[in-house]
Amino acid sequence: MSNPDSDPSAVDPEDFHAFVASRGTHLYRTACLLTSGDTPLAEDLVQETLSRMYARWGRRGRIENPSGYAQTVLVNAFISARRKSSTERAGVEALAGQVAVPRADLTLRVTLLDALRQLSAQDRAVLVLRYWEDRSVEDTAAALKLSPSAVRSRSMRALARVRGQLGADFVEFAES
Amino acid sequence: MSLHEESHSFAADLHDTALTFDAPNTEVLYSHAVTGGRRIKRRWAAQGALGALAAVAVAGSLAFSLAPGTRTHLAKPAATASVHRTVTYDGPVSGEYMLENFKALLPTDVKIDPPHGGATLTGVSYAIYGTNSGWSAEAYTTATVNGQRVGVSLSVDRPNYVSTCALGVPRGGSCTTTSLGGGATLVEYEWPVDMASQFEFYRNLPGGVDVHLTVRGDRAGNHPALTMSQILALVTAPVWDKALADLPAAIDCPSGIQPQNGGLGLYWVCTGDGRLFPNAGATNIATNL
Repeated sequence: MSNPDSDPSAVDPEDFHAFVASRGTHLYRTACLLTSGDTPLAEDLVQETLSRMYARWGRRGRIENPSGYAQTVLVNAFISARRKSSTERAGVEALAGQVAVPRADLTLRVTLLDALRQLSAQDRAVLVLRYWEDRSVEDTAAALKLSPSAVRSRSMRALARVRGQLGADFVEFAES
Repeated sequence: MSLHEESHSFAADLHDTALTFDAPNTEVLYSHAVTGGRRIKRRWAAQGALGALAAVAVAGSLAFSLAPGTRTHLAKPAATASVHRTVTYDGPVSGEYMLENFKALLPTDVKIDPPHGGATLTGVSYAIYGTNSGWSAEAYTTATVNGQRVGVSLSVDRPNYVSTCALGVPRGGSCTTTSLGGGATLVEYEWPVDMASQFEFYRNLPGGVDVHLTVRGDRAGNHPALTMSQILALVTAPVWDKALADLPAAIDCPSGIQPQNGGLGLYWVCTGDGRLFPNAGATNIATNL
């Protein structure tokens, strides 16, 4: 059996390190939104994503858009390996005391993440890809293996649910 | 407000929220990615070597044997050629068991965070963690130790690989192995981090199971927030023997075919013989024990 680590040309560690340095924070923030602020789970998802990226890095000629590919891997890992909501809730609540952020930002974060947590994993992924990643409907559909019409309908429905969850807060955030 | 305006403001709120999260240090992300990526490549290599045998097995019979401590719960013939046989488990340790013992074993100088309107301890028993682990029962908390903010997690695992120093160490990191007697070893990884620290301890036991402790701190340094005697007390506590004994058996698919993760993370399945392994009644709890 060949040793996959024996060929030094198979992986360019410097390039991969640069990729992690440039994209790691963005991936982590995407994971935090997907998991509604469950930072341990977000870290797990990012680690799994980057592990898969590293394993394929020597073949990166086959990856036309590494950043987009990583986001897709991350979202699919989230959908297929997510933990239950009770863990997510504890993660969000623990967050309130973990990171020093301005009170207004903290309020927005807790409120918005709580609303996201009420959504299904796929609806959450649709909103995160569309409105945080700024992906097109078609790109989102491709990443999630949905039809574009399904993405549109899920997006509208999810936004409506967020609006319902936030109520007046949504208007306040929207107008601020 | 129009739908367009509403969407635009929602996007702005998402951005504001996302930017409040600070990512782990690049070196931590990189070192874990290298370690995990190498494991994946080894798995690919193993699968490639067994590919021909696997193809024969897939085309072969559905004969299989159950692992010790398991029983066939459901055999549901399908209209197609795909037949799944669900395997269930007796007596899985609960998330409550993990949390209660985890909390009881934490040293007195570990001050668990006060609740912020919710729970401060979380536990998952026998959940599936992505593609890198077989079975795990876990307990986790955030706390303060001598003024340092820490995250401490302990899991009892039957991984599909054993974590040893041979898996490689990232640049600037270190790994040491200590014999604990009785065939057990303690593997300690130190991850290089500029602004924080992360230490992992694996008490590897015969039979391919382990007790895994992770200690993350918000201060850089060469020593974990817990002392070595505290760490040893945590990973060698007899209470984990019950959890270790209750871990579901390794999934042994025919001819070395790797089990596939499926059902939105709810089960493993052997594509070779159709056995489907649910997550053993995984419980996820959060508590202020």
